[in-house]
Amino acid sequence: MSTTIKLARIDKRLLHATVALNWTRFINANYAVIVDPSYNNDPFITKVMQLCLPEPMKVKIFSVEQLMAFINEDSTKNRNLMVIFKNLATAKEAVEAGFKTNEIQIPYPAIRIVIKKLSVFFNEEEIQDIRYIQEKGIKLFYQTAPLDNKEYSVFKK
Amino acid sequence: MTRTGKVRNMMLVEVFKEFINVIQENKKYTMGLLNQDGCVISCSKEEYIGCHFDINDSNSNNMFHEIKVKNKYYGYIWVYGDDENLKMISSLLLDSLTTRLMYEINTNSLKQKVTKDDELIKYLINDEHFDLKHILDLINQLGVDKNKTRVAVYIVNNKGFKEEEIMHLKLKPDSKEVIYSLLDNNSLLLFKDIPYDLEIVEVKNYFEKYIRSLQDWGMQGCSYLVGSLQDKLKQYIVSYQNCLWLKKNVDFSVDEPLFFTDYLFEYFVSKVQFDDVRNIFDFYKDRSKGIDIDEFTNIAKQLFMNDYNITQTADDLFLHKNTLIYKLKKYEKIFNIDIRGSFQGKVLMALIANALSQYQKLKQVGEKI
Repeated sequence: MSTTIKLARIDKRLLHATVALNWTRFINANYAVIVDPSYNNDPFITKVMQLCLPEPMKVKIFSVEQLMAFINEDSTKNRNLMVIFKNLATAKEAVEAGFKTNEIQIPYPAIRIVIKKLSVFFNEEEIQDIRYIQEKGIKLFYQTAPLDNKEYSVFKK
Repeated sequence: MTRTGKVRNMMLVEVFKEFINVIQENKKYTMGLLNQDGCVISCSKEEYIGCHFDINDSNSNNMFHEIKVKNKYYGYIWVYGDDENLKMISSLLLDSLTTRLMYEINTNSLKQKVTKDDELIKYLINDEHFDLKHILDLINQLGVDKNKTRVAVYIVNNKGFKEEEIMHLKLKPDSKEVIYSLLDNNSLLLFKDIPYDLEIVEVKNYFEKYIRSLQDWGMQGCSYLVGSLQDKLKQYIVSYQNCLWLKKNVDFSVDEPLFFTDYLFEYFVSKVQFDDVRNIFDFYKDRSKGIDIDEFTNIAKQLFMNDYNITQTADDLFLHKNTLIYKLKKYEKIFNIDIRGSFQGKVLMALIANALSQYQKLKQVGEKI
């Protein structure tokens, strides 16, 4: 049996309705994994998050180390993961720790004006994180809901 | 209140029970479900049930949030706690509750759609009566295009499908026009549409890609049988029957799709009544006692696959070319047909091989022939 990353997303709103409702079923995920070191030690928050989705869907809140341990452990069943990073810094940390995926999704900014420059939406530190992730061969793209177009171009500039 | 409204309220109360269980494990908070009038109808502490609250009176210990899902109001949640995180926790609880309710509502409507798909498939593959009125009615309700060209894809999973997972197939982006139904725990039938502008020569490639996308989506360890193209609702059953024919007559393996169109010759040969062939060649059958029937059918099959190229066939069968020619001459003599020289002789060889292989099968099951 295997663990497959069906979707990796950076979303500060974590497991909100769009993610929980649209993406899990769209990509046939059976695990929603939130990577947010600030929540990962609070079992009460984990239980409240689990309430968003009924069993057999599982909701986990991990630190980066816990995420990597979870991905690398042997599992007796197929685990299809939707991984949601709290922010770019956490995603970069995971990539540094060996997190492998082809691409990472970022929801479109609230106002969908024509996105021409990364610096309009990201600060210098975030742009450095973006470049680091890209150097590791991982593409970044904008997409909010499943039927939205994937927008890669702005991240190539 | 409408029936849907009642069902949704019942769903809310059921879901809220799960929230109560979690809250009761954490003694710091009390959580209640209030109706539109502010009356507690469910609560983590039963003594509050029936109490009234002023929902506009949120303060440092009591938070009230309106529950609004898909533009409908479902009352309020009340969260009590003597804790600095109360605001954050109550918002999180509200988010989780509304998300969960949306999930349940969507699941219910998905179930209804899948039930309609099941019904539609039942009508489409009914070989005794084609009820067009019912079919069109269901197609209308499902909002799928009746004029699309579709192909039956019969998927076999020996380990069994998970009903819940199959239900979510409706949400796959390229499955909007797909009609499907679980025929039993191990067999899934779907009628997949093709784009209007797809060239016929591209169809196989298109389905290979679609099947790969199903595998990526999670349908691994399945066998895929693909029927013929059909653009009339009445003919969908033919495409389905093609899949059943493949299942019965062709060896198939896991994760490798099998296309009916690759077996058209075998299909039509199999449609020739083998009794007819037997009756005509019965005399020769007795005379053929000296030949190895398995070898004969194998040679016939291999010749067909190699377009009757003798050199290639001999190579594939690890025979010397002259040995193969010797055997073919023998068959020509026994059955009085011209295998090497005429088209008709080649077709007749295929028919005889099919009939003899049917004899073998019947013999194996002990039938008297």
